[in-house]
Amino acid sequence: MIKNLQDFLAGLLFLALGIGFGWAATRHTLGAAADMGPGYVPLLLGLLLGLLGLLILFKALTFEALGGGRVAHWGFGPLARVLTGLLWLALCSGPGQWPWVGAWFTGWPTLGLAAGVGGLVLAVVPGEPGGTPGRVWLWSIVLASAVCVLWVGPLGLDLPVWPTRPAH
Amino acid sequence: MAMDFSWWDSLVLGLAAVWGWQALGLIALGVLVGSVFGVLPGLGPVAAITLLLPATLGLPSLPALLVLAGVYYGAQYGGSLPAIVLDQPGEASSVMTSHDGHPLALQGRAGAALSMATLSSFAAGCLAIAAVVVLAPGVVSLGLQFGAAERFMLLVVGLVGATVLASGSFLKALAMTVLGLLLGLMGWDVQTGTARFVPEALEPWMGRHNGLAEGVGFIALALGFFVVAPVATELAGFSTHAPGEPPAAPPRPAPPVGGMDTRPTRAELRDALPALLRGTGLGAVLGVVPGGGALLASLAAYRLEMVVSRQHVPALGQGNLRGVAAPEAANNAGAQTAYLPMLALGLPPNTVMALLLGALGLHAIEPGPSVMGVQPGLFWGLLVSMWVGNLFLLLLNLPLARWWVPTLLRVLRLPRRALLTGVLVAGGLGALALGPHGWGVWLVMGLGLLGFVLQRLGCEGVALLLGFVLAPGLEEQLRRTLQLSRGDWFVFLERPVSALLLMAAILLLLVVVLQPRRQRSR
Repeated sequence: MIKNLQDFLAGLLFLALGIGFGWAATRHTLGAAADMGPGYVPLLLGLLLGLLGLLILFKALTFEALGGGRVAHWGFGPLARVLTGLLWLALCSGPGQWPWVGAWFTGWPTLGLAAGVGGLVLAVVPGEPGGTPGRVWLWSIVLASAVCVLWVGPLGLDLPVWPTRPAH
Repeated sequence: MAMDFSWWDSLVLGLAAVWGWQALGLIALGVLVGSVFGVLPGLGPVAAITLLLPATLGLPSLPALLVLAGVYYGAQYGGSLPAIVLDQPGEASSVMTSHDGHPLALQGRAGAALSMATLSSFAAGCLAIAAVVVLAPGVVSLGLQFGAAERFMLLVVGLVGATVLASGSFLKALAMTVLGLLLGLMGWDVQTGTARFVPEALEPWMGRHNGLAEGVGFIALALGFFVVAPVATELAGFSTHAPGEPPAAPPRPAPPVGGMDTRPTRAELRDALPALLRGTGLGAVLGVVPGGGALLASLAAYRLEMVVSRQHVPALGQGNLRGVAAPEAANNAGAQTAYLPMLALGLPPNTVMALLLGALGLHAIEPGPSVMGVQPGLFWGLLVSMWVGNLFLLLLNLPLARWWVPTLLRVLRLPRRALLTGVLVAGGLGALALGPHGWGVWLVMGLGLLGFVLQRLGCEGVALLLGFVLAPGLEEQLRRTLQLSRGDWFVFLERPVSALLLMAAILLLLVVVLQPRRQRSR
């Protein structure tokens, strides 16, 4: 049975990534050792990664870890909030040009920096049952605005601050 | 090395490169940011440099490096302040400082401990930079004699060494290195003119112009692994220092610490001097070792001091200035000598150096022994700037301490969650600056997810970053070697230096495999 859950999952992940990279490498020219194509080194590394993944899997199935390598919780909730906030920030910078899904967003206005950062702060700050005290909100907004001013002013970020109509 | 090489000319060249309001201002900015991030627990120089990377993209190479380098040694000074005053080290490398610094603060001699920490950091930093300046030309000329096979093996030894010394499971660290190498090979392959692993729809984004190879991927990787993933980890209630363990206790109300104005007496300074020199020597050596750097140096220096000063009164751990001087000298010396392998050989011994090496790559400077010859202004300017920066820090922490120390301590009183939000916003805007239409944000999201999952599975991002940064060089040297040998892999055994390096790599691996139980160093 699985004796170290963390290692077991890590092994599976590395094995999958190794196979994936190895397979992707074979779609490029491999070449020979004396004249390497673009796929040569990635294929070798992919195989090595797969092998390491297998070793980690073997270890996870044979050596008992303290507590079985199980964790109390994975913490995907906060991660999801962070990623949602970032996704919103990306959406506010003009999704009309994105590959694959760009067509869905035709006519979508560029919402701009203020809306994007506001959404990011809203997604990240609240949390922990019992609510977030006002001092946290205050300082979050102060720090976020300071960062925005820095990026728009001296650093010259190429993004409108306020919502703009889509260009035709 | 050419015969007409002169230290004097090189140093004058370096000084000329950093003389000017812009350069001096950027050094000051770097050490200020570094000090602030050094004070904050869990957010260290790695996060600060990562956040500054996209902002320095618009600068020329030397000014960009001045800021980034300043952050690293600024953090070594900043980390000792909360360690001494609050017993709450801001930096892993100043944990040892708190063992003796905090008892001193409780005895009403916080000022003495802080001055000692600053003085020993300054002395050690200056001596270590001098050592780098003296040794660099020799190391560079050695590196220039290396052929492709030797360079390949050198990079392999560096990668294996960093993996061996990383904390946690060795197999997982090795797998992370290989994954980093694979990620580093994604995108534009200069040698064959192919975009590797890139779907056709993404070609305009990841292909020739916005290629991962051109540094967008590097910054996105750093932002994902060292900003997004740690912030999410901490919001989820895990400590970033030791993933998987419950978070650190919330900061206690500061006990009354008096005597901020005290200074060490002359006799105490004379007494701590040998400890300072021992710390400097040990730190200077450990800074160069792959996987070493400031953290390992301060640990080792404190252990050494415990042995050497065991007859000393008061005993170490009860408020002995020697216990402050040794680890502080060691961590700053280690932070400076780590530049030697990075600048002279293109071999980063720790995470911060890997970030700086990647920053060199962003400015189209091929890291390696040729940097000193091709870009002497950059090479010597960076080294001279570290003296200047250390001088700034000395001024801030000794004569201006009356204003500077309370300001830094006030930063600690900011709500933690607000700080994390601020850091995340800075990271998000940095990601926006990487490409048009939020392309960089997508990359950062993907890599942040990967980084978070890997961290929760007990794999460290450090090894992955090292692999990512070294991947192009590694492939190029391997290609060149096997081209010259017509595909004969035994060339690595036939050339003596390369065989020696291979043996060193295997030896390092054996050390780990045969070692019964690995301790958690972090």
